Amino acid sequence: MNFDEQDRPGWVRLPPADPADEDTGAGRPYRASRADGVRHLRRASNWTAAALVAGVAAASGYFAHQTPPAAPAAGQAVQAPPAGQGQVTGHPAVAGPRPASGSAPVVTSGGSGVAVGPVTGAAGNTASGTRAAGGATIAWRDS
Amino acid sequence: MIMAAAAGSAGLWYLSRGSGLVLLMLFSAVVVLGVATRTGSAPSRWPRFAVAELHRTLSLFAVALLLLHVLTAILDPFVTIGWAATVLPFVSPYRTLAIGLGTLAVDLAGAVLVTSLARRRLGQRAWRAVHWLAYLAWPAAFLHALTAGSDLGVWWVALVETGSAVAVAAAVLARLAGRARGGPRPPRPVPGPAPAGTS
Repeated sequence: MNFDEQDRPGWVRLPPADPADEDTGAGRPYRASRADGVRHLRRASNWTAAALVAGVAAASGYFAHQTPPAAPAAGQAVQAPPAGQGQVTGHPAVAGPRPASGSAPVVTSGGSGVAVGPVTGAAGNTASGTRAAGGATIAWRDS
Repeated sequence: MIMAAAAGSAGLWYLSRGSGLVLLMLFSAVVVLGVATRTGSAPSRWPRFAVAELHRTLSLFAVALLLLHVLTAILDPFVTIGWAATVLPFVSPYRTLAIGLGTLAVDLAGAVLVTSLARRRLGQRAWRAVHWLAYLAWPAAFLHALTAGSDLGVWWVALVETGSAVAVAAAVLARLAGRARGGPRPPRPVPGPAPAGTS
């Protein structure tokens, strides 16, 4: 943004002050107003750019810091939220439960033999099955 | 973004969320400044050209931030959004409506940007007609933030989004009120006596 060095095509410069007015100060208000505007603009632009960088860094850092750990504690099974409360609250990989979805088959198990999640093709050579409960599909398998 | 990529998928996700939130604020500021440019509103010590130039500068900042937001979302390997979804609304297999609203906002804002860069070739009337699309782009971006954003439970995120909506609504209402009054734009402030011989 060269306001001082060059004119833009189609723009008309403000009339220059008569050098003879230099002594009386009559031409100064125009130059002062223009210079003030440019100074305000540059200052605001610089501060905004700095604030953007800081804001993105701060927000990203906050989200990274407040996100719960990915893996549930031992002995806990991840419960899918009830139907109607299925808002994803974070990155699917790191931020806890997602609503039951056939496009993202994830099974978690706390070691108790109970797995919660959308499981397809559960039939096997052991007794197994699926049932719906609370908006989630629960798959089980008898060992 | 390199650091986020180095941090893995989660880093890209955090950066996408953070940049999206800041982008909403910036986009709102751009809209408010655009309305201020049009209505002739400016802080008392600011000449009007500075407000218009700040509107333009922040718009370019928003483009850079938008690139960061889109790239981090696309490059995040965990969810499949797809490159086509960056320009074609409602084709993303992941959260089709929410991502589609964001794509719609990008398309509309892109049209506003391109026509602004080619303003002299297009002429004032065509430029202004396309510039009205900004009033559609912002709601699309806001709805994208509400539906795709996953942090409304955080009080300051909710505050940021509410504040953005209030600021833009106030600016638009001020403009509508000005049009309803039908009065002329306020006169340009004259900083001092005109130089001699320039009547």
